[in-house]
Amino acid sequence: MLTNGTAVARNTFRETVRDRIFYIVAVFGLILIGSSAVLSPLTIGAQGKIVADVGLGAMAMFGLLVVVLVGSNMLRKELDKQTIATILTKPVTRRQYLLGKFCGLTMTLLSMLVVMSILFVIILLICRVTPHPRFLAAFFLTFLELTLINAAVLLFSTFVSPTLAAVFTLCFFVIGHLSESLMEFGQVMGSRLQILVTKIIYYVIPNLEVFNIRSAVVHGDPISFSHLLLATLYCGAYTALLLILAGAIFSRRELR
Amino acid sequence: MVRGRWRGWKLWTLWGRAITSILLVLLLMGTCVGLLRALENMTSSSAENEKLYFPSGYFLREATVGFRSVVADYLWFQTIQYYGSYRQGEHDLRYFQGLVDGVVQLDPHFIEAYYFGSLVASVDQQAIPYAVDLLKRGILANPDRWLLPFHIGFLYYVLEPDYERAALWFHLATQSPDANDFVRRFAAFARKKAGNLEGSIVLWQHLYDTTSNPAMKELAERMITHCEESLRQHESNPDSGGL
Repeated sequence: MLTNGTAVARNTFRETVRDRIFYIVAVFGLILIGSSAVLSPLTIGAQGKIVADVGLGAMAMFGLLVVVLVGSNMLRKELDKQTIATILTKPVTRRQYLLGKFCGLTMTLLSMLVVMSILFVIILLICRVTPHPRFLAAFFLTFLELTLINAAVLLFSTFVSPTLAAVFTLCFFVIGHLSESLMEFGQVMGSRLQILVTKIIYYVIPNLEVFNIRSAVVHGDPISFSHLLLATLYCGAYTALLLILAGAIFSRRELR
Repeated sequence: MVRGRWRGWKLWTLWGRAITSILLVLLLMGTCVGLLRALENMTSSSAENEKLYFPSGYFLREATVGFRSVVADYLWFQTIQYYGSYRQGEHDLRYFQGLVDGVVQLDPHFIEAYYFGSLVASVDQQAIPYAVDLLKRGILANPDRWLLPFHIGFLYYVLEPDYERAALWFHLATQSPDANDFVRRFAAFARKKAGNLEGSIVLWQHLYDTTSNPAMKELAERMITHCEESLRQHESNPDSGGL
Protein backbone atom coordinates (compact mmCIF):
# COMPACT_ATOMS: atom_id res chain seq x y z
CA MET A 1 0.00 0.00 0.00
CA LEU A 2 2.81 2.33 1.00
CA THR A 3 4.79 1.39 -2.11
CA ASN A 4 1.93 2.45 -4.35
CA GLY A 5 1.71 5.85 -2.68
CA THR A 6 5.50 6.18 -2.83
CA ALA A 7 5.49 5.54 -6.55
CA VAL A 8 2.96 8.36 -7.06
CA ALA A 9 5.04 10.63 -4.81
CA ARG A 10 8.25 9.87 -6.68
CA ASN A 11 6.55 10.45 -9.97
CA THR A 12 5.04 13.74 -8.80
CA PHE A 13 8.45 14.88 -7.56
CA ARG A 14 10.04 14.09 -10.95
CA GLU A 15 7.18 15.78 -12.77
CA THR A 16 7.32 18.96 -10.67
CA VAL A 17 11.08 19.18 -11.01
CA ARG A 18 10.67 18.94 -14.76
CA ASP A 19 7.97 21.60 -14.44
CA ARG A 20 10.70 24.28 -14.64
CA ILE A 21 10.52 24.58 -10.88
CA PHE A 22 14.23 24.92 -10.49
CA TYR A 23 14.18 27.93 -12.79
CA ILE A 24 12.34 29.65 -9.97
CA VAL A 25 15.15 28.73 -7.63
CA ALA A 26 17.61 30.22 -10.11
CA VAL A 27 15.52 33.41 -10.25
CA PHE A 28 15.48 33.44 -6.46
CA GLY A 29 19.25 33.17 -6.35
CA LEU A 30 19.71 35.93 -8.89
CA ILE A 31 17.31 38.25 -7.10
CA LEU A 32 18.98 37.58 -3.80
CA ILE A 33 22.50 38.06 -5.12
CA GLY A 34 21.41 41.10 -7.11
CA SER A 35 19.53 42.67 -4.22
CA SER A 36 22.33 42.21 -1.71
CA ALA A 37 24.88 43.61 -4.16
CA VAL A 38 22.69 46.55 -5.18
CA LEU A 39 21.20 47.30 -1.78
CA SER A 40 24.37 47.09 0.30
CA PRO A 41 25.48 50.70 -0.31
CA LEU A 42 21.97 51.93 0.57
CA THR A 43 21.48 49.88 3.71
CA ILE A 44 23.54 52.08 5.94
CA GLY A 45 24.14 50.44 9.27
CA ALA A 46 21.80 47.52 8.65
CA GLN A 47 23.25 45.59 5.74
CA GLY A 48 23.31 42.21 7.49
CA LYS A 49 19.74 42.59 8.72
CA ILE A 50 18.40 43.57 5.33
CA VAL A 51 20.22 40.83 3.42
CA ALA A 52 18.88 38.27 5.93
CA ASP A 53 15.35 39.72 5.83
CA VAL A 54 15.22 39.77 2.04
CA GLY A 55 16.67 36.25 1.83
CA LEU A 56 14.27 34.66 4.31
CA GLY A 57 11.32 36.61 2.93
CA ALA A 58 12.16 35.57 -0.62
CA MET A 59 12.37 31.92 0.44
CA ALA A 60 8.86 32.04 1.86
CA MET A 61 7.53 34.04 -1.10
CA PHE A 62 9.01 31.77 -3.79
CA GLY A 63 7.95 28.68 -1.85
CA LEU A 64 4.40 30.03 -1.71
CA LEU A 65 4.48 30.75 -5.45
CA VAL A 66 5.61 27.20 -6.21
CA VAL A 67 2.91 25.68 -3.99
CA VAL A 68 0.18 27.84 -5.50
CA LEU A 69 1.23 27.55 -9.14
CA VAL A 70 2.20 23.89 -9.18
CA GLY A 71 -0.17 22.58 -6.51
CA SER A 72 -3.31 24.13 -7.95
CA ASN A 73 -2.68 22.54 -11.37
CA MET A 74 -1.48 19.15 -10.20
CA LEU A 75 -4.80 17.33 -10.14
CA ARG A 76 -6.40 19.15 -13.08
CA LYS A 77 -3.50 18.23 -15.36
CA GLU A 78 -3.95 14.51 -14.70
CA LEU A 79 -7.72 14.77 -15.00
CA ASP A 80 -7.41 16.56 -18.35
CA LYS A 81 -4.92 14.08 -19.73
CA GLN A 82 -6.89 11.21 -18.24
CA THR A 83 -3.65 9.73 -16.85
CA ILE A 84 -5.42 9.53 -13.51
CA ALA A 85 -7.70 6.81 -14.90
CA THR A 86 -4.66 4.70 -15.83
CA ILE A 87 -3.12 5.21 -12.40
CA LEU A 88 -6.30 4.32 -10.56
CA THR A 89 -6.62 1.04 -12.49
CA LYS A 90 -3.44 -0.02 -10.63
CA PRO A 91 -3.77 -1.05 -6.98
CA VAL A 92 -3.78 2.56 -5.80
CA THR A 93 -6.71 4.00 -3.89
CA ARG A 94 -7.76 7.60 -4.42
CA ARG A 95 -6.57 8.53 -0.94
CA GLN A 96 -3.16 6.95 -1.61
CA TYR A 97 -2.99 8.81 -4.89
CA LEU A 98 -3.74 12.12 -3.16
CA LEU A 99 -1.23 11.40 -0.39
CA GLY A 100 1.35 10.54 -3.04
CA LYS A 101 0.71 13.85 -4.78
CA PHE A 102 1.07 15.69 -1.47
CA CYS A 103 4.31 13.91 -0.58
CA GLY A 104 5.73 14.50 -4.07
CA LEU A 105 5.17 18.25 -3.91
CA THR A 106 6.44 18.33 -0.33
CA MET A 107 9.67 16.62 -1.50
CA THR A 108 10.00 19.22 -4.23
CA LEU A 109 9.50 22.02 -1.70
CA LEU A 110 12.06 20.47 0.61
CA SER A 111 14.69 20.17 -2.12
CA MET A 112 13.93 23.71 -3.27
CA LEU A 113 14.31 25.07 0.25
CA VAL A 114 17.60 23.19 0.68
CA VAL A 115 18.99 24.76 -2.51
CA MET A 116 17.70 28.20 -1.44
CA SER A 117 19.16 27.82 2.05
CA ILE A 118 22.58 26.96 0.65
CA LEU A 119 22.43 29.98 -1.66
CA PHE A 120 21.27 32.14 1.23
CA VAL A 121 24.16 31.06 3.47
CA ILE A 122 26.65 31.72 0.63
CA ILE A 123 25.23 35.24 0.22
CA LEU A 124 25.40 35.87 3.96
CA LEU A 125 29.05 34.85 3.89
CA ILE A 126 29.72 37.10 0.90
CA CYS A 127 28.13 39.99 2.82
CA ARG A 128 30.29 39.10 5.84
CA VAL A 129 27.30 38.14 8.00
CA THR A 130 27.91 35.13 10.23
CA PRO A 131 25.13 32.60 9.57
CA HIS A 132 23.84 31.63 13.00
CA PRO A 133 22.40 28.12 13.62
CA ARG A 134 19.13 29.93 14.48
CA PHE A 135 18.62 30.37 10.72
CA LEU A 136 18.05 26.59 10.55
CA ALA A 137 14.96 27.08 12.72
CA ALA A 138 13.65 29.71 10.27
CA PHE A 139 14.27 27.37 7.29
CA PHE A 140 12.50 24.54 9.11
CA LEU A 141 9.44 26.57 10.08
CA THR A 142 9.19 28.02 6.55
CA PHE A 143 9.14 24.43 5.30
CA LEU A 144 6.37 23.54 7.77
CA GLU A 145 4.32 26.57 6.69
CA LEU A 146 4.68 25.61 3.05
CA THR A 147 3.74 22.00 3.85
CA LEU A 148 0.54 23.18 5.49
CA ILE A 149 -0.26 25.43 2.50
CA ASN A 150 0.50 22.49 0.24
CA ALA A 151 -2.18 20.45 2.01
CA ALA A 152 -4.60 23.36 1.65
CA VAL A 153 -4.01 23.75 -2.09
CA LEU A 154 -4.53 20.02 -2.53
CA LEU A 155 -7.81 20.23 -0.65
CA PHE A 156 -9.03 23.15 -2.77
CA SER A 157 -7.96 21.53 -6.03
CA THR A 158 -10.15 18.49 -5.28
CA PHE A 159 -13.35 20.50 -5.71
CA VAL A 160 -12.65 23.73 -7.63
CA SER A 161 -10.85 24.80 -10.80
CA PRO A 162 -7.06 25.48 -10.67
CA THR A 163 -7.62 29.26 -10.81
CA LEU A 164 -10.05 29.19 -7.91
CA ALA A 165 -7.79 26.80 -6.00
CA ALA A 166 -4.91 29.26 -6.42
CA VAL A 167 -7.08 32.17 -5.25
CA PHE A 168 -8.42 30.21 -2.27
CA THR A 169 -4.88 29.20 -1.29
CA LEU A 170 -3.67 32.78 -1.38
CA CYS A 171 -6.66 33.73 0.78
CA PHE A 172 -5.77 30.86 3.12
CA PHE A 173 -2.26 32.31 3.40
CA VAL A 174 -3.50 35.84 4.08
CA ILE A 175 -6.14 34.75 6.61
CA GLY A 176 -3.60 32.45 8.26
CA HIS A 177 -1.34 35.42 8.90
CA LEU A 178 -4.16 37.65 10.09
CA SER A 179 -5.88 35.25 12.47
CA GLU A 180 -4.19 36.74 15.56
CA SER A 181 -5.28 40.23 14.55
CA LEU A 182 -8.81 38.95 14.10
CA MET A 183 -8.92 37.71 17.68
CA GLU A 184 -7.43 40.98 18.94
CA PHE A 185 -10.09 42.83 16.94
CA GLY A 186 -12.80 40.75 18.62
CA GLN A 187 -11.41 41.59 22.03
CA VAL A 188 -11.33 45.29 21.19
CA MET A 189 -14.98 45.13 20.03
CA GLY A 190 -15.89 44.12 23.56
CA SER A 191 -19.16 42.17 23.49
CA ARG A 192 -19.04 38.60 24.77
CA LEU A 193 -20.58 37.18 21.63
CA GLN A 194 -18.05 38.92 19.41
CA ILE A 195 -15.19 37.71 21.55
CA LEU A 196 -16.56 34.16 21.41
CA VAL A 197 -17.14 34.23 17.64
CA THR A 198 -13.68 35.63 16.86
CA LYS A 199 -12.15 33.12 19.27
CA ILE A 200 -13.88 30.23 17.47
CA ILE A 201 -12.80 31.57 14.09
CA TYR A 202 -9.27 32.00 15.41
CA TYR A 203 -9.04 28.36 16.49
CA VAL A 204 -10.70 26.99 13.34
CA ILE A 205 -8.58 28.82 10.77
CA PRO A 206 -4.86 28.10 10.80
CA ASN A 207 -2.45 30.46 12.53
CA LEU A 208 0.46 30.71 10.11
CA GLU A 209 2.17 33.32 12.27
CA VAL A 210 3.44 30.51 14.51
CA PHE A 211 5.76 29.56 11.65
CA ASN A 212 6.94 33.13 11.08
CA ILE A 213 10.05 33.48 13.21
CA ARG A 214 12.03 35.20 10.47
CA SER A 215 12.17 38.58 12.18
CA ALA A 216 13.09 37.02 15.53
CA VAL A 217 15.89 35.01 13.90
CA VAL A 218 17.29 38.05 12.09
CA HIS A 219 17.33 40.09 15.32
CA GLY A 220 18.96 37.27 17.26
CA ASP A 221 16.02 36.62 19.59
CA PRO A 222 16.10 33.18 21.22
CA ILE A 223 13.87 30.49 19.66
CA SER A 224 12.84 27.85 22.16
CA PHE A 225 12.90 24.17 21.33
CA SER A 226 9.36 23.84 22.71
CA HIS A 227 8.14 26.42 20.16
CA LEU A 228 9.67 24.36 17.35
CA LEU A 229 8.20 21.16 18.73
CA LEU A 230 4.71 22.58 19.21
CA ALA A 231 4.77 24.24 15.78
CA THR A 232 5.77 20.91 14.22
CA LEU A 233 2.92 19.12 15.99
CA TYR A 234 0.47 21.88 15.00
CA CYS A 235 1.56 21.61 11.38
CA GLY A 236 1.24 17.80 11.50
CA ALA A 237 -2.24 17.90 13.01
CA TYR A 238 -3.61 20.61 10.70
CA THR A 239 -2.06 19.01 7.61
CA ALA A 240 -3.57 15.64 8.54
CA LEU A 241 -6.97 17.31 8.97
CA LEU A 242 -6.79 18.98 5.55
CA LEU A 243 -5.61 15.77 3.86
CA ILE A 244 -8.42 13.74 5.43
CA LEU A 245 -10.94 16.29 4.15
CA ALA A 246 -9.30 16.30 0.73
CA GLY A 247 -9.36 12.49 0.65
CA ALA A 248 -13.04 12.40 1.63
CA ILE A 249 -13.99 14.85 -1.14
CA PHE A 250 -11.76 13.28 -3.77
CA SER A 251 -12.95 9.73 -3.11
CA ARG A 252 -16.54 10.82 -3.81
CA ARG A 253 -15.69 12.90 -6.84
CA GLU A 254 -16.69 11.85 -10.31
CA LEU A 255 -13.57 11.76 -12.46
CA ARG A 256 -14.20 13.33 -15.85
CA MET B 1 19.44 36.57 -64.53
CA VAL B 2 15.85 36.80 -63.30
CA ARG B 3 16.65 34.44 -60.49
CA GLY B 4 19.66 36.58 -59.52
CA ARG B 5 17.56 39.74 -59.54
CA TRP B 6 14.87 37.98 -57.45
CA ARG B 7 17.49 36.87 -54.95
CA GLY B 8 18.82 40.43 -54.74
CA TRP B 9 15.32 41.81 -54.22
CA LYS B 10 14.64 39.22 -51.53
CA LEU B 11 17.90 40.11 -49.76
CA TRP B 12 17.06 43.80 -50.02
CA THR B 13 13.61 43.28 -48.54
CA LEU B 14 15.13 41.20 -45.73
CA TRP B 15 17.70 43.91 -44.97
CA GLY B 16 15.09 46.60 -45.45
CA ARG B 17 12.79 44.94 -42.99
CA ALA B 18 15.55 44.47 -40.46
CA ILE B 19 16.68 48.11 -40.78
CA THR B 20 13.09 49.38 -40.59
CA SER B 21 12.48 47.27 -37.48
CA ILE B 22 15.66 48.54 -35.81
CA LEU B 23 14.77 52.14 -36.67
CA LEU B 24 11.25 51.63 -35.37
CA VAL B 25 12.56 50.13 -32.11
CA LEU B 26 15.00 53.03 -31.69
CA LEU B 27 12.28 55.56 -32.44
CA LEU B 28 9.89 53.99 -29.94
CA MET B 29 12.67 53.72 -27.36
CA GLY B 30 13.49 57.40 -27.85
CA THR B 31 9.81 58.30 -27.52
CA CYS B 32 9.57 56.31 -24.27
CA VAL B 33 12.68 57.99 -22.84
CA GLY B 34 11.35 61.43 -23.83
CA LEU B 35 7.94 60.76 -22.31
CA LEU B 36 9.48 59.37 -19.13
CA ARG B 37 11.67 62.44 -18.74
CA ALA B 38 8.66 64.68 -19.24
CA LEU B 39 6.75 62.67 -16.63
CA GLU B 40 9.72 62.85 -14.23
CA ASN B 41 9.78 66.61 -14.54
CA MET B 42 6.09 66.70 -13.79
CA THR B 43 6.27 64.42 -10.77
CA SER B 44 9.50 65.70 -9.21
CA SER B 45 7.69 68.68 -7.72
CA SER B 46 5.16 66.46 -6.02
CA ALA B 47 7.57 63.64 -5.07
CA GLU B 48 7.91 64.96 -1.55
CA ASN B 49 4.15 65.03 -1.06
CA GLU B 50 4.00 61.32 -1.86
CA LYS B 51 5.13 60.70 1.69
CA LEU B 52 1.92 62.35 2.87
CA TYR B 53 -0.05 59.40 1.49
CA PHE B 54 2.22 56.78 2.95
CA PRO B 55 0.07 54.34 4.95
CA SER B 56 0.63 54.14 8.68
CA GLY B 57 2.78 51.39 10.15
CA TYR B 58 -0.26 49.94 11.95
CA PHE B 59 -2.06 49.46 8.63
CA LEU B 60 1.06 48.07 7.00
CA ARG B 61 1.52 45.59 9.88
CA GLU B 62 -1.77 43.95 8.91
CA ALA B 63 -1.41 44.41 5.17
CA THR B 64 2.06 42.89 4.83
CA VAL B 65 1.08 39.40 5.96
CA GLY B 66 4.20 37.44 6.84
CA PHE B 67 6.60 39.87 5.18
CA ARG B 68 6.70 42.72 7.69
CA SER B 69 10.47 42.82 8.04
CA VAL B 70 10.99 43.07 4.29
CA VAL B 71 8.50 45.96 4.05
CA ALA B 72 10.18 47.61 7.06
CA ASP B 73 13.48 47.38 5.16
CA TYR B 74 11.88 48.98 2.11
CA LEU B 75 10.50 51.79 4.28
CA TRP B 76 13.97 52.18 5.80
CA PHE B 77 15.42 52.77 2.30
CA GLN B 78 12.76 55.40 1.74
CA THR B 79 13.65 57.05 5.05
CA ILE B 80 17.36 57.14 4.22
CA GLN B 81 16.66 58.53 0.76
CA TYR B 82 14.28 61.09 2.22
CA TYR B 83 16.98 62.22 4.64
CA GLY B 84 19.50 62.32 1.77
CA SER B 85 17.22 64.62 -0.24
CA TYR B 86 16.81 66.84 2.85
CA ARG B 87 20.59 67.17 3.06
CA GLN B 88 20.53 68.30 -0.55
CA GLY B 89 18.07 71.01 0.42
CA GLU B 90 14.99 69.58 -1.30
CA HIS B 91 12.61 69.77 1.68
CA ASP B 92 12.34 70.38 5.42
CA LEU B 93 12.01 66.75 6.67
CA ARG B 94 8.35 67.22 7.55
CA TYR B 95 7.43 63.55 6.92
CA PHE B 96 10.56 62.07 8.47
CA GLN B 97 8.93 61.16 11.78
CA GLY B 98 6.04 59.41 10.02
CA LEU B 99 8.48 57.29 8.03
CA VAL B 100 10.52 56.34 11.11
CA ASP B 101 7.32 55.50 13.00
CA GLY B 102 6.29 53.25 10.12
CA VAL B 103 9.62 51.41 10.19
CA VAL B 104 9.54 50.74 13.93
CA GLN B 105 5.86 49.79 13.93
CA LEU B 106 6.60 47.18 11.29
CA ASP B 107 9.80 45.98 12.92
CA PRO B 108 9.98 46.97 16.60
CA HIS B 109 13.44 45.40 16.90
CA PHE B 110 15.04 47.62 14.26
CA ILE B 111 17.56 49.31 16.60
CA GLU B 112 19.24 51.31 13.82
CA ALA B 113 15.92 53.00 13.01
CA TYR B 114 15.40 54.17 16.62
CA TYR B 115 18.99 55.32 16.83
CA PHE B 116 19.17 57.18 13.53
CA GLY B 117 15.58 58.45 13.73
CA SER B 118 16.05 59.96 17.19
CA LEU B 119 19.36 61.55 16.23
CA VAL B 120 17.97 63.22 13.11
CA ALA B 121 14.79 64.30 14.92
CA SER B 122 16.76 65.87 17.76
CA VAL B 123 19.59 67.50 15.79
CA ASP B 124 17.99 68.44 12.48
CA GLN B 125 14.42 69.03 13.67
CA GLN B 126 15.11 70.02 17.29
CA ALA B 127 12.30 67.62 18.21
CA ILE B 128 13.87 66.24 21.38
CA PRO B 129 10.55 65.14 22.99
CA TYR B 130 9.77 63.06 19.88
CA ALA B 131 13.29 61.61 19.85
CA VAL B 132 13.04 60.61 23.52
CA ASP B 133 9.57 59.15 22.96
CA LEU B 134 10.85 57.12 19.99
CA LEU B 135 13.74 55.76 22.05
CA LYS B 136 11.41 54.92 24.92
CA ARG B 137 9.26 52.91 22.51
CA GLY B 138 12.45 51.19 21.44
CA ILE B 139 13.31 50.34 25.05
CA LEU B 140 9.85 48.82 25.58
CA ALA B 141 10.36 46.54 22.57
CA ASN B 142 14.07 45.86 23.27
CA PRO B 143 14.64 46.10 27.02
CA ASP B 144 18.02 44.36 26.85
CA ARG B 145 19.82 46.84 24.58
CA TRP B 146 22.09 49.41 26.25
CA LEU B 147 22.21 51.65 23.18
CA LEU B 148 18.65 52.99 23.54
CA PRO B 149 18.72 54.23 27.19
CA PHE B 150 22.28 55.41 26.62
CA HIS B 151 21.14 57.43 23.65
CA ILE B 152 18.37 59.09 25.71
CA GLY B 153 21.11 60.05 28.19
CA PHE B 154 23.16 61.29 25.25
CA LEU B 155 20.32 63.55 24.07
CA TYR B 156 19.76 64.94 27.56
CA TYR B 157 23.49 65.48 28.01
CA VAL B 158 24.44 67.16 24.75
CA LEU B 159 21.27 68.75 23.45
CA GLU B 160 18.79 69.49 26.23
CA PRO B 161 21.04 69.78 28.45
CA ASP B 162 19.67 68.12 31.59
CA TYR B 163 22.61 66.42 33.29
CA GLU B 164 20.64 64.87 36.12
CA ARG B 165 18.33 63.06 33.76
CA ALA B 166 21.23 62.19 31.50
CA ALA B 167 23.09 60.56 34.40
CA LEU B 168 19.94 58.60 35.26
CA TRP B 169 19.61 57.20 31.72
CA PHE B 170 23.35 56.45 31.50
CA HIS B 171 23.02 54.53 34.73
CA LEU B 172 20.05 52.65 33.31
CA ALA B 173 22.13 51.76 30.24
CA THR B 174 24.81 50.19 32.48
CA GLN B 175 22.14 47.79 33.79
CA SER B 176 21.63 46.24 30.34
CA PRO B 177 23.23 42.84 29.90
CA ASP B 178 25.06 43.95 26.74
CA ALA B 179 26.49 47.19 28.23
CA ASN B 180 30.18 47.62 27.42
CA ASP B 181 33.05 49.35 29.24
CA PHE B 182 32.50 52.67 27.50
CA VAL B 183 28.95 52.88 28.86
CA ARG B 184 30.10 52.20 32.43
CA ARG B 185 33.00 54.63 32.16
CA PHE B 186 30.84 57.36 30.70
CA ALA B 187 28.07 56.88 33.26
CA ALA B 188 30.64 57.41 36.03
CA PHE B 189 32.14 60.39 34.20
CA ALA B 190 28.73 62.01 33.67
CA ARG B 191 27.95 61.70 37.37
CA LYS B 192 31.18 63.44 38.34
CA LYS B 193 31.60 66.05 35.63
CA ALA B 194 28.10 66.93 34.52
CA GLY B 195 27.84 69.87 32.19
CA ASN B 196 31.31 69.82 30.85
CA LEU B 197 31.84 70.27 27.15
CA GLU B 198 34.55 67.64 26.93
CA GLY B 199 31.89 65.13 27.90
CA SER B 200 29.80 66.10 24.88
CA ILE B 201 32.82 65.81 22.60
CA VAL B 202 33.62 62.34 24.00
CA LEU B 203 30.03 61.25 23.31
CA TRP B 204 29.96 62.59 19.75
CA GLN B 205 33.44 61.15 19.11
CA HIS B 206 32.27 57.75 20.36
CA LEU B 207 29.27 57.92 18.00
CA TYR B 208 31.59 58.95 15.15
CA ASP B 209 33.97 56.04 15.84
CA THR B 210 31.36 53.34 16.26
CA THR B 211 28.79 54.05 13.56
CA SER B 212 29.03 52.66 10.04
CA ASN B 213 26.24 54.99 8.93
CA PRO B 214 27.78 57.79 6.80
CA ALA B 215 24.89 60.18 7.54
CA MET B 216 25.40 59.72 11.28
CA LYS B 217 29.16 60.09 10.90
CA GLU B 218 28.65 63.37 9.09
CA LEU B 219 26.23 64.57 11.76
CA ALA B 220 28.63 63.63 14.57
CA GLU B 221 31.49 65.42 12.79
CA ARG B 222 29.34 68.55 12.54
CA MET B 223 28.52 68.43 16.23
CA ILE B 224 32.14 67.82 17.27
CA THR B 225 33.19 70.94 15.34
CA HIS B 226 30.35 72.86 16.96
CA CYS B 227 31.34 71.69 20.47
CA GLU B 228 35.01 72.48 19.87
CA GLU B 229 34.11 75.99 18.75
CA SER B 230 31.94 76.48 21.83
CA LEU B 231 34.78 75.16 23.98
CA ARG B 232 37.23 77.61 22.43
CA GLN B 233 34.79 80.47 22.95
CA HIS B 234 34.19 79.35 26.52
CA GLU B 235 37.93 79.22 27.22
CA SER B 236 38.50 82.70 25.77
CA ASN B 237 35.43 84.10 27.58
CA PRO B 238 34.46 81.93 30.59
CA ASP B 239 31.34 84.03 31.32
CA SER B 240 29.73 83.19 27.97
CA GLY B 241 28.00 80.02 29.30
CA GLY B 242 28.11 76.37 28.21
CA LEU B 243 27.06 74.61 25.06
